[in-house]
Amino acid sequence: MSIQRDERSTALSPMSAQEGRVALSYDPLDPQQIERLALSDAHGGVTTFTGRVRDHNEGEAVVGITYEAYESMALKELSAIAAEGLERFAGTIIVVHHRLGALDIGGVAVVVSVSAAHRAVTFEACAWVIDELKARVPIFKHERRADGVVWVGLGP
Amino acid sequence: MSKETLKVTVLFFAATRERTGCREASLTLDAPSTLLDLKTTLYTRHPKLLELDGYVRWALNERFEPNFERALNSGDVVALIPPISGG
Repeated sequence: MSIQRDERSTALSPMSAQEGRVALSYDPLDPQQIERLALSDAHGGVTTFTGRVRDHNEGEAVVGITYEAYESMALKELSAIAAEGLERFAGTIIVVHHRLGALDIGGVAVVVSVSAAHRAVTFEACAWVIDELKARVPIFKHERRADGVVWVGLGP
Repeated sequence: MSKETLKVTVLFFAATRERTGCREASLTLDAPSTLLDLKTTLYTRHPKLLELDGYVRWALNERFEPNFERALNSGDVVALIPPISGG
C-alpha cells in the first residue's frame, strides 16, 4: 500500500505482485495502467470500475470535487477490504486506487480492478469492493458548486 | 495528592476541521477517562461540533469505535470522522 505524491510514482513500476494494489494518489489515475496490476496469465476475466466526477449532485450543478482523507486509516481500511475480498472471492486479484486532491468534471476518482480465472466472480467482487469503500474508507468529498462549496453527506 | 492524567491526540477532518479551526489537538484528561469524557470536553471547547453531532463517527487508533464507554489510554489517537463520501 502506498500514498503517491510525485510524478514518478504514478508509473507504478517495477513492483512485486502485491505491491501497488492498494493506493491513494494525489496524481491522476490511469485506469488502464491500474488494471494491468490485476492481470495474470491464469486469469481470463477482468472487470474494472472507474468512478468519475460528474457534473451534478443532489440536483445541484457541480464544478469539481476535492477529496481529502484520513490517509493512514484510509490505507488500512482499503487494505482490509482487499484482504477480506480475497477471502470472500477466492482466486481473484483485487486492485483499488483512490484519488485525493482537486479534480475537475470527468476526473477519475477511483479505479477498482478485479481479475479471476472466469468472469462471474469479477463482477461480483468489483461491486462489493466499491460498496465497501464507500461505506468505510475515511475519504471526504468537498464539492465545488456554482454557488459555493459543501462537504458531501451533511444533509441539505 | 495530584490527580493522574492521560494525554490523547485528536484529529479533525473535513467539516470537523473547519468547525474547530484545527487539524490536530493534544488533550490532557483525568485518568481514567472514556471516549465520552473526551467528547464532552471537546464539545465544550468547540461548541460548533454540536452542529455535526449525529453525522460524526469516531475512530480510536485508526479503527471505528462505536462504544463511547471505551476507556482511553495515554498516547491514543482519536479521530472525528465526518460523513464518508469516497468513490
